[in-house]
Amino acid sequence: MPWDVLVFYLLAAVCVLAAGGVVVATNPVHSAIFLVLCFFNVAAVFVMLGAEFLAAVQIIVYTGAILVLVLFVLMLVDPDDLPEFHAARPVQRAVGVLLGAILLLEVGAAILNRTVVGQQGNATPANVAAVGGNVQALGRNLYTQYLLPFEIVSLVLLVGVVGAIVLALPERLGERVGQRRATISLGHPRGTDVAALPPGLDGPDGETPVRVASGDRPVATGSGRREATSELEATRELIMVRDADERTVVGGGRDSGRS
Amino acid sequence: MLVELSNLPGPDWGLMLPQLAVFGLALVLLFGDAFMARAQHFRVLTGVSLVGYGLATALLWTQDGRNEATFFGLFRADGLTVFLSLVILVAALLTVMVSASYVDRLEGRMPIGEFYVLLAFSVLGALMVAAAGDLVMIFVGIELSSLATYILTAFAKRRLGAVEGALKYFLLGIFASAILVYGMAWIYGATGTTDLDGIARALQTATAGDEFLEPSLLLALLLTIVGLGFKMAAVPFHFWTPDAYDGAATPVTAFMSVVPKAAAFAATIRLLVQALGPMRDDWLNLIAVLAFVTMAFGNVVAVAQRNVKRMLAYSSIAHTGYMMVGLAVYRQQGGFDVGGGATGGDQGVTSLLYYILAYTVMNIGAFAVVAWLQHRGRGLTLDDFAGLASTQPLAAAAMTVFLLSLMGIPPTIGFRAKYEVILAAINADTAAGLALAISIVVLSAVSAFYYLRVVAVMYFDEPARTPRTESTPLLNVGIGAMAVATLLLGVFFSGQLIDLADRWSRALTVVAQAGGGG
Amino acid sequence: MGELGVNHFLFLSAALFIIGMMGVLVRRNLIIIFMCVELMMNAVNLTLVAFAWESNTMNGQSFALFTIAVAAAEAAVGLAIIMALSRRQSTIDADEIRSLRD
Repeated sequence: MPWDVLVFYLLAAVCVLAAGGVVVATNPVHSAIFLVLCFFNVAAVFVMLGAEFLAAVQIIVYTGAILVLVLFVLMLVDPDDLPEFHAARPVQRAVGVLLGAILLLEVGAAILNRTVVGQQGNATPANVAAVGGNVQALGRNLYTQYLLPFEIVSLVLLVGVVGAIVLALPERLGERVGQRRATISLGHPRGTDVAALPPGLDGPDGETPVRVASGDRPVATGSGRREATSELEATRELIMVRDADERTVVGGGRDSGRS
Repeated sequence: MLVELSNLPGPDWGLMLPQLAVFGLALVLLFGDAFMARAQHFRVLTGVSLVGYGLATALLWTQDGRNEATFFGLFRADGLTVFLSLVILVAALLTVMVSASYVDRLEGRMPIGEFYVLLAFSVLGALMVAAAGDLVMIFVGIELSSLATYILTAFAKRRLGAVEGALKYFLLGIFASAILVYGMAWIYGATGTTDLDGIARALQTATAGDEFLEPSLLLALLLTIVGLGFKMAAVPFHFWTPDAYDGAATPVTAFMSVVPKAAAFAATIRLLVQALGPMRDDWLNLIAVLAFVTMAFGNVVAVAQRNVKRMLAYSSIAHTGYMMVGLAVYRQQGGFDVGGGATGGDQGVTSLLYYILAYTVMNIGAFAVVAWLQHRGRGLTLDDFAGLASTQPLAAAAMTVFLLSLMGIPPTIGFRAKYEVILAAINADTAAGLALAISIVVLSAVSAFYYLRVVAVMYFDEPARTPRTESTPLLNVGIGAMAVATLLLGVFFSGQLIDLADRWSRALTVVAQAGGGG
Repeated sequence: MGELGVNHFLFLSAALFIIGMMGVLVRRNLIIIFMCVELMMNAVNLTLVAFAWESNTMNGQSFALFTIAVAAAEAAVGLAIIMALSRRQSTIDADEIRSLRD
């Protein structure tokens, strides 16, 4: 058996096993990591097919961007907060498996019986090497024939950015943008006077609790914490700065910052 | 293909003026939103949107009667482009009229700048699909249009239903996209090209008029039809439709019941008729079965709905079925069988195109009346329509016009459109065509039940409570214009509109010339 | 065995596509379903590149690049919708999302 066939079978086996792992894993984080493994192997297969640039893009975009994003969301979102998509009743599982098996048969038949009706192109390995390699050849193709979809894909990404901002921005934050966005100065000694806090009150998730106008802040979960917070609000001033050379006392009513 | 870099043809920007106008509109909105005081947003951005879409619609005449391509054949300005762009731009104009005050006042004041920007990008994506000359363009255009629509669906994010509907729409939408693009990959694998005319040419050479059964192309056909079926909400790929339509803000529902559907039909016509036309025997029966199942299911389930928005969602599924009948009776009277001298398009596809236009006016109209009632503190159930005729006779009259048109009562535009589809189905002279024509008539009778129920509730029930007064001038103008168009376009100008739709077949003449030579 | 042909790659991509599709149909966790769709998209890319290799054209590689870009935009939008949803509902029944069902 030639070595490239051997390598292909190795890569393919890992790919399929990892893909199976994505579907079977109970923990979504395990799924994501199986997916990373699968994508790395697909990138290696791209190299075997002479698509070096795509292999790099595959690793940078898929594993570097998309899956890191997925992992971030997995960490940020409490899985209990998410509804389940559809009830996976046994019937539905059976239908899913059946559809998969049918499609596998069809695709298998198509692969084994296919004939190519089109003509061969001129991007033979020799020609690709003549223009300088895969990246150059892809670039020529992309910036001539596919110039228009290339421009439209930039709009697709722009829509993705706009959509992510519109949907993921908390509503209250969106309303406050432009009015007053205070940031806690970690460098200022009085801005982070954790020592003054009652014990056990270092805020949810380790944040320093910031006093904000009532109703403007999400309700804390524990009732004890809420009481303690209001007590804190009565006794404590927190220094916040809008930018590096300005200080504002929030809640104290006095403005100790330079204007 | 490795292209020689010397003597590259430059793009012909003059060919794509309407599309550029919408692109410019999106940029103006994006920057206007960023640099304008919040108080002016509403009026200025609405005005800019109306002017922009109006300008783009007016610029369509520069593409009329042309049959040219630019950007290496990826962008085509032909009869199909012009008619579908007209439908999409009219839908965009009407959506702006319906949505302006809704977005500004209801659902906790959604950010109107982003709303218009996403609307413009969705419209641009649909326009690009209509003008696509390549598989990649179809894919990218559909994605641009759908991504913006997913976000618009979730726009009323204070309501859980909106976000849930959007999530369902999104997950099934990207699932469908993956299936669609897998089908496109197989088409590319069989023909070695992504160019629609090139695919048709390769298939024509391979078939040479004989019986043709290439398994990989059949697989590709199946996958693309499943993918596009999801996008156009055909049964059995419709699961997302009721929840997404019901969850979204009403103007968004009006928009997504028309523009993504028009984009999906544009992609279907481009793919099946233009590229895979030589193997039409393989897909005609599949589309016919889907058309029947879709209209039967939509009509039967709509009967059980008491929520008017949900009822309209199922009715839009039924209308998808009527439109698919036009595609299912495609039999190529014009096009490349005649050999270059195409005089008229195929009646089936022409009737499909005319139906989309009619559906645009009457369906957005019906949703507009629902939005009009929501402005006045009413809900979405049938009971909220009780006694509307005694308190607001004009709104009730407009809703009656739209519902009668959706039902297909003369002299409305809905009747004319349905008549054209039935005529095309009968003229196809096949058993399937005849069966489809009969089922349209029977199922229209079924649909009378749920459309007329709303009319009856409006006219014969006692009003539950008096609605609050609210001033929505732009929405009123929009509803009035749509009601007048629904009433009159079926009688006047319908000949011209059908002629315009009939020019779609010129999209195929390029193939005719090339195919005749090879 | 013998020579490495396009069929090898097509079978691999078909396996990945079908595994992803079954994942979408069978799993209930939203994020896993999303990852399964990404897997399907990747299988499509593999198909496209394999066909490009077979037919000596670059079109398939360009197409795959567009697919990757679109997948990135889809990821941004989809995860934003998931964030909005998780923010909107602190706790929810598995049945509640289906309250609108027919």
